[in-house]
Amino acid sequence: MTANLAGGGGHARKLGVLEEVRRAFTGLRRGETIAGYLFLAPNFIGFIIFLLFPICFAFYIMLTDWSLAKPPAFVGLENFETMVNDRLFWKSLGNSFYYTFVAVPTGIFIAFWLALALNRKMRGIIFFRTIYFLPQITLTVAAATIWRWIYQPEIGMINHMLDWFGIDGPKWIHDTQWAMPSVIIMSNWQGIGFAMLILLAGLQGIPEEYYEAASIDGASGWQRMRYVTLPMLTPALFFVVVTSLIGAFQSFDQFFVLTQGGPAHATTPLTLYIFQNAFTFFKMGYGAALASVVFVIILIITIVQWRLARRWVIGFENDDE
Amino acid sequence: MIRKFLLLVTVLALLSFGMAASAQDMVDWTCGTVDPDTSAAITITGWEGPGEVDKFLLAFDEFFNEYYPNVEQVLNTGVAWGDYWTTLPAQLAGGAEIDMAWMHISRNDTFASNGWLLNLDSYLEACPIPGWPDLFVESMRDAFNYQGSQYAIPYDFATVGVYVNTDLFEEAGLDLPDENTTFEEFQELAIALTQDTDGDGETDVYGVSNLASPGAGAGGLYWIIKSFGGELYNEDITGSELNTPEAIAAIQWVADMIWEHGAHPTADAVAASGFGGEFFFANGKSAMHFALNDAASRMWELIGDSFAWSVVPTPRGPAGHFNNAGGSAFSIPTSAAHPDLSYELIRYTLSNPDHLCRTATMGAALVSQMEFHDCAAPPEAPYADVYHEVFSVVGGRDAIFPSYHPRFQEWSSSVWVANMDLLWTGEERDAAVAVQRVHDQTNEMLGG
Amino acid sequence: MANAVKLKDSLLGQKQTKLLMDLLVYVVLSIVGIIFIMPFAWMVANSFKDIRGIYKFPPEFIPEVWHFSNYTEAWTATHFDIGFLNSALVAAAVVLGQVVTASLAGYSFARLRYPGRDKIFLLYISLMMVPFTVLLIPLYIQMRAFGWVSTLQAVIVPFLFTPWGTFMMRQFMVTIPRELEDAARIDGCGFFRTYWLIILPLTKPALATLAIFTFVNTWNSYQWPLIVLAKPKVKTLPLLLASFQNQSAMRTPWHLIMAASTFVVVPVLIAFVVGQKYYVRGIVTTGIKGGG
Repeated sequence: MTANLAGGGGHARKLGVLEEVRRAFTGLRRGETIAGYLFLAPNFIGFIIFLLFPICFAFYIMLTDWSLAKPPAFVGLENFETMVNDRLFWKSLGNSFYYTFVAVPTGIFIAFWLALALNRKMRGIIFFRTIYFLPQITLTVAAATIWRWIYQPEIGMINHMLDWFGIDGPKWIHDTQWAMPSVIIMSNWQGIGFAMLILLAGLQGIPEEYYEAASIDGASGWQRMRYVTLPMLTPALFFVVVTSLIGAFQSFDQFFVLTQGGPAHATTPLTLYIFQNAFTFFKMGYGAALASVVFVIILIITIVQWRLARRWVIGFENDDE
Repeated sequence: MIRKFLLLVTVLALLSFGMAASAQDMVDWTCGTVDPDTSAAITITGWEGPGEVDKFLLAFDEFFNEYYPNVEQVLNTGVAWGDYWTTLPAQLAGGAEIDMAWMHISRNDTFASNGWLLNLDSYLEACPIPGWPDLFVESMRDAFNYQGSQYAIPYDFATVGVYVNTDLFEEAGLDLPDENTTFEEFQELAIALTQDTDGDGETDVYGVSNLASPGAGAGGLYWIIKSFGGELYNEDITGSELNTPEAIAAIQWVADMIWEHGAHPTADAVAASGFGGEFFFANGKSAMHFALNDAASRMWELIGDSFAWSVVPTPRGPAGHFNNAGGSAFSIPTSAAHPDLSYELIRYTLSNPDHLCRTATMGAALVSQMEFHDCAAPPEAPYADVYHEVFSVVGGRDAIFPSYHPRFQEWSSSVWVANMDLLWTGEERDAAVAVQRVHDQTNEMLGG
Repeated sequence: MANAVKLKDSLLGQKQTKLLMDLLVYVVLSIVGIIFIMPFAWMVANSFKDIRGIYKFPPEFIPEVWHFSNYTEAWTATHFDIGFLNSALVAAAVVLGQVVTASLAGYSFARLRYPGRDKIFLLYISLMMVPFTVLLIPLYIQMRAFGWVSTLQAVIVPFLFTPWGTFMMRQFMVTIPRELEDAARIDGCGFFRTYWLIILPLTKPALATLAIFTFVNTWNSYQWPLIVLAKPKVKTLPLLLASFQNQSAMRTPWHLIMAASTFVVVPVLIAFVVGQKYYVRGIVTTGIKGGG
């Protein structure tokens, strides 16, 4: 029935935007329109005040040569031309993609099963939830320190365990091939608590009645999972996927503390390269241009997900205007 | 009558003498350009944190209590070293007014060329710093000089030496190296000291540690390159001079120590502690360890009396004897609201003989003024008898550092580390290959 | 009769399966949990060692001698009392602000219909995508214009509004059965009363999650405070922690850093455990039947 109501929007599309807004404010749904904007206002206005200027500034800076000291000099698209021939740009771009598309799916997969396990009604479950959340709040420097030790090839924990199975472990963070997987493992360890908590909240939000109804209909455990849990979890899952991808493309700390981007830039993601350009090489204009690349990539990925979301995420069915 | 007169004369003479004497005690450390009653807030930023910065805070307090009791100090100290170099530019670019800032030799030219630092030449002329320039370590004075002008006043001097485990030398029946030990002899020593004590096929004691690891900048190797007769850049820093047989031999010497002779731990072995390579030497796992002089006090704390150790100078190459130097300074940003006051504070802190020895002792480091170099090592320290000779006399004499030109950090990260790392991970063993890449990319970057 | 027995059997069977599953889950959670707890435990263990113990090789987990004095030494080394106060104030303000603004906007995006809603939403999400690195300086310039440099406003006010949290609240609110809301509307509730009486209580787990995350992020926030808070009296805990790091790693008092990191993390742990209280199924207690 909501679809029918929303269907009215189909006509609105043909009208001008102003006409659409005018109707929204005068028609039957006048109250809802006003309420909608009012509810949005505190958040949106605040954000615009504190972000609009910085963002516009950043967009201007990417067209300039700015050493942070002298005023920015307009250079048009020169920064983007530089990018084409910049070895380290392509390398760090590749690193960002590598990291994102390995770390995010594996992380979400683990977090999903972890959330399911931690959603059980069992004694001491809060204790376990806390444990899995601990990496989030462990001092990153302390975490990196012990991970360096874990990755140590001779006496480190991982290779020690691999040795039990007769596997000769790699040199992990000291090898250009294995450094990125090392960072991915550590950052999944650290970040999993985030995705786990969101999914847990999502699971907790599924009305018990749905499960009761499914049980009465004779649904098996697997069927309850397939027809109740999964669909009802899709909004939370969608949120986790979208924000994890954004977060992964912007991640920085774990690289900075574990490998400092090395060896030989094997773990320098675009964000670290942006930071170096902006604040170490003092090429803020170039840094902003690189940042715009990150922005565009994330935007494209997000829009694609938005389109796909209509197929699998509940709560999107009435979004078509 | 005469007696009365004599008495009066005596009293007067004594009085005037006393006044003169007390006036001598009371050297005026101001320059006369700031109103003593001024009630400003002076903003100071630096990387040294709790414990470390106290040596200077004492002097700051003394200065303001004595001369400017109404000045408030706003101290933004303890900005972690790595973050300091990104935070300070961000603040300066955002228009922050900072009156005084810690500076380092590796960044001076970058900051000076960016126009962030005040040229101190006119200050040095108008209100000279006692002992400047003669009593300051020469290499440090030059380090903060950019295009003929002074941009910061050095407060310390750090240089590299070799920490030696004398017990291990004795066991092996070897003599300690000295400043005339050649690099070949040093390598033989390192190989001889490398042992697999329990015979399990893995090295338990390495001959030498802390020469190079992934991420290492050019500073730590420059003195070796120079000792072999090589150079990094050409005279006016518009191109590379690294692809000479001398420079290649120097870098190959380091790489061979790791991969050819197994006398230096690989980076992954060093990473075991997670805190840095010092644990290798401190736990008796290496016989010789390259480190700066300011590591001595911590080494003493870590080693305790587990074994006997000492410090010796770096080895000598065919082109001479050199050791890497570093150092920090105080500078005045151009955005300073009270530059005159900052200058007076720097002048007082870095040249008042009353507290320079205290600064050296508290920091367990060499201050920039040579006559206080004796104060760095406590008399009871195991290295007390050799510290001054190794680090101040020899170290001070032969101190060098690469040209920290304005684009040095960028070059270091995107050219040097990007290619040299492969030598330290072992993915490339031939120094000539890595050097050629650095050479080409340096020309590409600096020549353009 | 036979059916009843069968039902009883299957119930028993279900109970056994559940017990078995519980056991399995316990075992798996414990084994994986060790990996998760270890670095934290290691940090705490190191906080009781002296510097020699920390540099010991091979590393020892349990301190040889317990140096409890690390804690007092770290506490007195710098102004942790002021740091705690500042951090608590900032975290409380930001959490409160974000929960309020995000839940209001989330409701608007999830439930109310008005022109341009989804376009505004996408624009809003896209604001999250600009790397913060390039916003640092312009934001600093703006803070200077407001006269907020080295004041707590600079780390509070710009962070009261969150696209991330709004997105999250929206995603949770769309799963709430519409029937509940319709019922409230029929009973004459306005939009705000519906939000307040129906939506908010049902999104408690999500609100708790948002609060926990905002708390953790604000409590640990480092880069921006480091740049904008340049006076001792406004410094937050992460800045004080970092101040122990020395130019040379070797001279860094790691034992004090570990001790300080441990006591700094305590409030976060408390916040997390308290937040868990709200991880209850909101729907069951309010009930659909009551609304219908």
